[in-house]
Amino acid sequence: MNMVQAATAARSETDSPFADFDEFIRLYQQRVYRVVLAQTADADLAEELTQDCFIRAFQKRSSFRGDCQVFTWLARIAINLVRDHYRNRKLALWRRLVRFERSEPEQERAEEVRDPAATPEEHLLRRERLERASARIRHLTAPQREALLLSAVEGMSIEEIARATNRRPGTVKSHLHRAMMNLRTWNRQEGQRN
Amino acid sequence: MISIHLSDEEITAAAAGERVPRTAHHLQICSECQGQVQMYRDSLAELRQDICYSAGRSAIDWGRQSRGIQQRILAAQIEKTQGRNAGFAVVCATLAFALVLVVFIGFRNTSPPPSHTPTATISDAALLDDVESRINEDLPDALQPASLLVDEMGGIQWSSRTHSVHVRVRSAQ
Repeated sequence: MNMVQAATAARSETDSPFADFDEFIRLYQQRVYRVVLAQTADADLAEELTQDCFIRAFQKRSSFRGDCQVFTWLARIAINLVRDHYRNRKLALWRRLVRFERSEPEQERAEEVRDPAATPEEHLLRRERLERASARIRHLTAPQREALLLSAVEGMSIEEIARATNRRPGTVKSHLHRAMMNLRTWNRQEGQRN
Repeated sequence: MISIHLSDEEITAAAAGERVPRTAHHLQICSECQGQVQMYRDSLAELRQDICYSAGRSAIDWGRQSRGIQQRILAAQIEKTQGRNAGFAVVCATLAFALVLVVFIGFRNTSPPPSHTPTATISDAALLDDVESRINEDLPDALQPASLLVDEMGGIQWSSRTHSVHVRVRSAQ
């Protein structure tokens, strides 16, 4: 390898978004967590899947070709993890049993360290608002929910959502439209109830 | 007066942030469609606020999660390395076993077959000579009466005598 090649390799290494993976985690963990939390409405599960997402991103970092934004690529991993989780629901009971038997101290520790800076009121309010958001999107199908959340919460374009969800832009547009129509219907029904 | 309003698809697309010149132009002049788009936008904004608030955590907690991820990545790497080492050990052990097996089978195949020592064959003539010499040899005194008896009998078949002597020779061998 000559000097130019070595310099190019070194530059591409430093230009890579994964060059400093700790910084990479700090940059994107909040957004990934938000995407997963919005889909699952379960803070513990969202935390676990967010960790899985970064571990998978680390393992597959060589497959990132740079043809889309890093967050689009991460969102794709996160959405696939959420899909896999719900697909493997049949095993959930066994997993829960194993987790219950094995990691009771771990859960206690998690409870101890769960956002120590937040007050109990804040915890309660966060839970309430999560439940409210969850109630709005619960009746949507999974593709509609994915399209709506990535568009409304993360501000992603139709093309980016299509890349993240591995669907065609036209399909995403259709899912987004139906999701918004369903959301409007839900809002009307709620308005009439109140 | 505006006769053709935006379709539902156009309204939701506009609310989602899609920029289409015709839609944008129509929204500037049609308050009804603008109101519908705004209603969608408000609904989406409310959803966004709820989710962002519920996903909010303190810097301490994000730091904890970040460290958790780093630890899990480290553990995964260690596990991967250990897995590789274990795999390498298994492959080495298998190869060693296979080598031993090949050497053993090869040794068995190439080892010379057990040699059969040729049995000394005695020719008929030699055997007959031996029989004759045994018959003709002097018997000890203790057996004299028996030798006399043999002489008296004289008519013993040659073949049967030969057979009995032959059997004795074999048993002696």
